[in-house]
Amino acid sequence: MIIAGVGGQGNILASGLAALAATAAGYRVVVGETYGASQRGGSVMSHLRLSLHKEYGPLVPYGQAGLILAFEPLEALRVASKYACAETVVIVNTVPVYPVSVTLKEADYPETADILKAIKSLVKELYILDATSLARSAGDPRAQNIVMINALAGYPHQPVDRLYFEEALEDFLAGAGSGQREINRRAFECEVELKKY
Amino acid sequence: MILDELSKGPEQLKDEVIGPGWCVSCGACVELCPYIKSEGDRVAVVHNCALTDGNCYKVCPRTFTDYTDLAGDITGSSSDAALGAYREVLQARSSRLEIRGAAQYGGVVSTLAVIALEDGFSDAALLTLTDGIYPRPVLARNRQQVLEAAGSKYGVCPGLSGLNRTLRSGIEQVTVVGRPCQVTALRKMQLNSSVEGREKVALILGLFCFWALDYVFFDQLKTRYGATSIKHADIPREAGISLDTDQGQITLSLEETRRYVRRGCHSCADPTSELADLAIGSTEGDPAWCTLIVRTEKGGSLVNKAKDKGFLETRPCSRDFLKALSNAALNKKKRVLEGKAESPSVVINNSYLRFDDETCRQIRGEGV
Amino acid sequence: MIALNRPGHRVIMTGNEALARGALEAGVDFCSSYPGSPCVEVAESLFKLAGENQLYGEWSTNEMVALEAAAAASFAGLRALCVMKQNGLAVTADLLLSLNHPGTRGGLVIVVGDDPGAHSSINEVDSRHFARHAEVPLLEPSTVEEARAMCCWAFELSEQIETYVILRVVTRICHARGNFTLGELPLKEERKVKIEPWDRFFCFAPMHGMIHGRQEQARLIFEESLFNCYSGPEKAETVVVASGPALLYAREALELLALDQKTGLLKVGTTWPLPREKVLTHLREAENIIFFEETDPFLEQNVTSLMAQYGGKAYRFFGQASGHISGEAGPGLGELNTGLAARGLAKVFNLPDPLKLPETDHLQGILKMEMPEREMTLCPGCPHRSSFWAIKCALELDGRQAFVLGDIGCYTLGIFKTGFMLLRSVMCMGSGIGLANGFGQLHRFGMNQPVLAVMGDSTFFHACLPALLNGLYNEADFIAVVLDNSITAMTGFQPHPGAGLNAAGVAVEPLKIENITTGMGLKTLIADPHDLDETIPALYGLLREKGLRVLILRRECALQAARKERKLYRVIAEKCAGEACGCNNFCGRVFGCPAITMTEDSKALISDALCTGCGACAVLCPRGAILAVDETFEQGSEKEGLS
Repeated sequence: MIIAGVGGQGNILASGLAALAATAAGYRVVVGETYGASQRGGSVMSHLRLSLHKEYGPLVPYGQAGLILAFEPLEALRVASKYACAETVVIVNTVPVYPVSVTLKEADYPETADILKAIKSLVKELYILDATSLARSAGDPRAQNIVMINALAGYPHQPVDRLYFEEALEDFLAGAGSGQREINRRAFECEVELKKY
Repeated sequence: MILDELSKGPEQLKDEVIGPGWCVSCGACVELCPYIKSEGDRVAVVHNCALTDGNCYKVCPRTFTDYTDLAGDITGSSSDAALGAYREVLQARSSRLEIRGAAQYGGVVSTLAVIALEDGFSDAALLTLTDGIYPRPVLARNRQQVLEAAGSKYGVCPGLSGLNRTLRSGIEQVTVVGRPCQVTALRKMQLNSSVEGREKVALILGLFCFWALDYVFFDQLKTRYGATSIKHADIPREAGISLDTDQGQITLSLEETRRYVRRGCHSCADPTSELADLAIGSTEGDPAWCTLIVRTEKGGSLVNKAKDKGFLETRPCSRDFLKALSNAALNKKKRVLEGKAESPSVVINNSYLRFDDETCRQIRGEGV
Repeated sequence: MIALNRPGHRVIMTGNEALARGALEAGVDFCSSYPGSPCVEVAESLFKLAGENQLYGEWSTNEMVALEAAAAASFAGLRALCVMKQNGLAVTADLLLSLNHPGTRGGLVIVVGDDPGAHSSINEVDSRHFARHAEVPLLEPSTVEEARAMCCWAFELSEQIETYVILRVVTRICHARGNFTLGELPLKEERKVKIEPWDRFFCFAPMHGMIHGRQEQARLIFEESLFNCYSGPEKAETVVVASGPALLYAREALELLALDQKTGLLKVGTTWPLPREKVLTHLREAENIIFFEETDPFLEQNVTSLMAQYGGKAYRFFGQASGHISGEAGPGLGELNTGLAARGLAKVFNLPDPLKLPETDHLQGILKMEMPEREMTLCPGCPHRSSFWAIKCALELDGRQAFVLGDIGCYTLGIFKTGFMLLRSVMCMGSGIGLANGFGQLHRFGMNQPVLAVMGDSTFFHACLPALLNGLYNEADFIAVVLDNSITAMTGFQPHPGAGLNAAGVAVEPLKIENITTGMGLKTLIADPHDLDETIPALYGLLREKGLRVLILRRECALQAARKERKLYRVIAEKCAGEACGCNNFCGRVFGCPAITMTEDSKALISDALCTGCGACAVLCPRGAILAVDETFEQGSEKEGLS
């Protein structure tokens, strides 16, 4: 599985939660990711590899992603262009984060509908949701990564029971203030409808 | 009206005016937008905004300027080739000692600015004050502030940089005192541009100006003489400039002073602010009085107001003096038109500057 | 988390956390570090525990001091860990080559984080060469689990051979997560540290022989180490030799190509000195030897040289030298991965290219354009953006083609559009002011251009002081601009001497940079970069002067400030000038705050998810159309122009 997003969207936290949940569920988990300079608006990817029997390398080989969880549509496409195959399922937050080349009006950003169409052409199934709005309703639009974990946890064809995600989130929130706990819990528990594209 | 010749943008402003060194730091383009700034006497387009048709080019007094056309719109009366269109030329001085004491020569500019503020012509006046040794723009709201800004500065202060922010603020009407280049820029702004708030410029008081000094002049006052404040400055008969500073009186010869004259001044053909409502200058030989040229009805009513309130007295201008002033003005214009001074390619009808044919002939002294 | 006292419990942690855990399991006493990606979290996680376990932790001002401090602890018999990134190890070079002489007492382990592919660095450095240069042992883990095990063992190894050990990790270990089982955490006894009258810690050239001796001792230990292991047929014709995570890619690639049954796989974990006998045992009878490693052909060159010396026959070597094993840009460039490893093996075995990337030719048609790249940008609210804008304006006003030199920090992004492409040079820490010392003398050769050097606050303490002193002493003519955001931001917001906090999170008196510069007699101005009306004239004024001048642009990092209090700003669309003359979308399109985009009718729009509430746009807006969210126009600043 690959979790894709833009630096600053909480990609690392999300992959940490997923990794913790999968470990508790009894899988051997390896995660490969890049951060540091990526916080400054660059593309961020976290590769998660789950197995009952083996320990794999930290990077998903080209064309072998089973699931792509994307916090941003362009990043979903970027990752799918290298790692998707006929079996891949994509879950994407449809709210764009514009690259600096676009905000500086040097490049155009494609229509979201076109991006989704492009993603669909590379994969088996594509599910969409507006995680940012759901997060905003939960109290903070920046909690969209938790809404996406919520979506992942609820996706019926992924191997880790929702309970483990819940425990992982509780673990993470242990040191947090009450305000933060509330918002994150609401984001994880809110109703998420995965619309099939 | 917006002219085709002025349908250009900041890149052309850089290429045609700032780059070749014709900018006179009037400040009209500064703070119209975040892309043009000034510091000291320097004006720069710090970043190309990417528009090819902008107000910056339109207001600049060194881009295409049709003096005859502008004068026609403003004064509505016939033009004199030497001094521009006017209703009358007077000598004037302030009747208020406290104003004369603080101000230059007859204190007429300061007096008129005070009346403009106190008698409902405007709620602010854009003036120039001396900050230590450097001129800088100031927005005066009351008599006290006008007097603090009194006195001639002789530097290329980009005073209009302060105007553009003011026009977008809550100020309703502003009186501006400026050099002829600044007056021209203001008129172009009013008539040839779409600058927001331009209708707020209530009254324009122009100065007489044959040249103005780069700020390196003030720099060297610091480095050579250790001066840190200027109390008063004027142009004495025999010398270039004389300044009353904290290091005593400093006088420079004409030769020395000339080195610091802004290059763009050499292409100026408007020493008496021909487009102002009122133009004020010194009277050579009589430091107690100013020369006051009334050009518009608005200007005339300000003068009358000042006189009615007992702030200003006037007397007619002697013919000899008028002749001397006219000759001085004509000579400057002649130098520019004949390209004798350094100037951009000044060829009638193919330059930044345009006078009608009749005026040009008179300047050159052809025919009667 | 890393101090969890549950031996036998199965966990998932990052490689950095695993290294920290390994150090704890070895009973580490002293940890010093300078923040550097990808390994900063090793020290960070230990510092959270400082005080407990009798563990001392510090952020040192630079890696040299960090290693010297750790060495002192080791001399006193304590176990010391020093953590740094690839560039940091290079900073300690002089010490590495002298510390190996007196040797160590308590185990001293240097964890160095390399960054193949330079995800968070300006270059990709293979630090393993330093181990060979200094003739000290080098360990390279291939997995997160191994990172923990090696780090724990390294202290023991260091004490056995009485010299420091370099443990080299890469991004795909540091920032990877993996499972392992927790080991025991030792109970520490009270100790009385004493430096005896006979203790001496000299580097003395005749000791060089001892260095050889220690290296040989290490080799003998490595011959038995389980960190090196062979799998596959006993007498394989083809053997793959690999170290680091490249081992995992190679293993997976062999399986992908169904070559794993007939190909031998020699995993090397103790990469220097090579366990000579072990290597020869498994390679001597082979015909073909294939190498996988990142980034330089370090293992490849050492093994091929070994085989040439002792192998006894001609071998066919495949790796970087032969061009078979290659990163995306070429051999020895960038990272490897399973796909690239498979491609390399296919080349060696004359098999078809196995890479199965998706077919993407049709995408441009659907998108009606090329996929836009995501260039890095300064965060919304970053004071460096305002600093760079101020510098740009001041330089244009000055008009003498001044130029700006830079170095390492968030402001390195000044080479991109986000910093108006102002930076003309970026090299190592302190190189900006260093170069300024040279450029600042070239007026003697007719150069009329003013010189500026920008540097961060953390970088100032790390590397800039000697250059500053040099500029003073040799009367160089430049402006040193310190971009003081009161934190070491790029690596994850670690404190430094000017930040007012130490590694344990305890408040300390912040060291003010202006106290140093004014104490040196240097003209120093301080300004708030977001206050452009103050900053541009201040810098313009400095440009008119001569000599060494200092401008400190001080404003807290936007992300740090937003953690404490996050005001939001909004655009009043009716007041926004949009594309019109007088603006043309300055805030989003030119100033470039990534939180600002354009609506359909070209009005500015601020994202509530991205805005950090710095307020710079509100001040810059030429129409005063931006207000704080709870502000109204009555309260808001209606500027009246001049005073």
